[in-house]
Amino acid sequence: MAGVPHLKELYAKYKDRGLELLAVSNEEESKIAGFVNGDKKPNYTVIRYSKIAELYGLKGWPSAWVLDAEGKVLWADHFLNKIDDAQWEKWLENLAPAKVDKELAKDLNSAVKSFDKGEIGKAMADTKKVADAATDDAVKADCDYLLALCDKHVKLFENKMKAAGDDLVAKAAVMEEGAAKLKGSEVGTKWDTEVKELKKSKTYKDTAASAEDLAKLKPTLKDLKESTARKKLEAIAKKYPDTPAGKEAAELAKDFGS
Amino acid sequence: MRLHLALSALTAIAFATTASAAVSVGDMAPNFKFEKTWNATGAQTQLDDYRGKLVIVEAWATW
Repeated sequence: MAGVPHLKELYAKYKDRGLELLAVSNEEESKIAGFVNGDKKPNYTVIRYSKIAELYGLKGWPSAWVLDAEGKVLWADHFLNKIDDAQWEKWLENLAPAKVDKELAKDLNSAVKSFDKGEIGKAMADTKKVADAATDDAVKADCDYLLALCDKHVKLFENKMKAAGDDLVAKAAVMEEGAAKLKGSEVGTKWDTEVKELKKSKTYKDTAASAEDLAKLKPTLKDLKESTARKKLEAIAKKYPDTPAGKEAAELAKDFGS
Repeated sequence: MRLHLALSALTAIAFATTASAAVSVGDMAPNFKFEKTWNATGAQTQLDDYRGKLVIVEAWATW
């Protein structure tokens, strides 16, 4: 059979870069075995499939097809030696990103699973990595979609933080919840750092302490003498003038005479 | 004569099938299950098991 040396050379040259050479014959097993074990010593895969001529609409022997990573026909003719090195190089180069994107699609699937489990931060960070590496438009579009869903969670927490206003205790609680939900992502890390700083600040401590003082005082007010109640409220207002509880105490004090 | 006609018809059908079914550039390569393999690089049993590779399918004959 002419061409075997060329096929062996071709296969040896490119097999490590993702080329597979399948030589398919419809002949009897013993004849094929004779060839494989004979002096030609093919280094490539030899296959028996009795219906190859019918299935592929053979127009003569030999015939060959070159298929891409998805199984699509790139080339169909009789003699493979018509294909030059530049063409093989091009096809093999195109093969590499297809493989990478397949791996990336798997990574994206695991990001979706994280999202479903409520690990939004992990999903976000993993999706960003995939989006950066992806070359395939379909993979990129999936990334954008997932990132938009994650972003909705971020926005939700941001709105809650805004709604908390200068109630730093409520704000810190939302931030802590957000940092946990978005753990592993940039924004999760940012909130985690911010909430720790916030809790260390004097304003936060004052807000928390004044709220606690006022909460304790409130149920006892009706049993106190007006002047005592007023004094106690004014004390909180004076000690913590810039806190929500301090302001509330100042307002309440007005209800207890002057 | 009748036999001759029948044979011609058969040949024509066989030819038509072959011509129309020719797998060409842009087609998806039809999958097929291997009846026997030699020198396989893994546990592949059908063409689709080679997805992800650049694959040459060469139809050859010993004669």
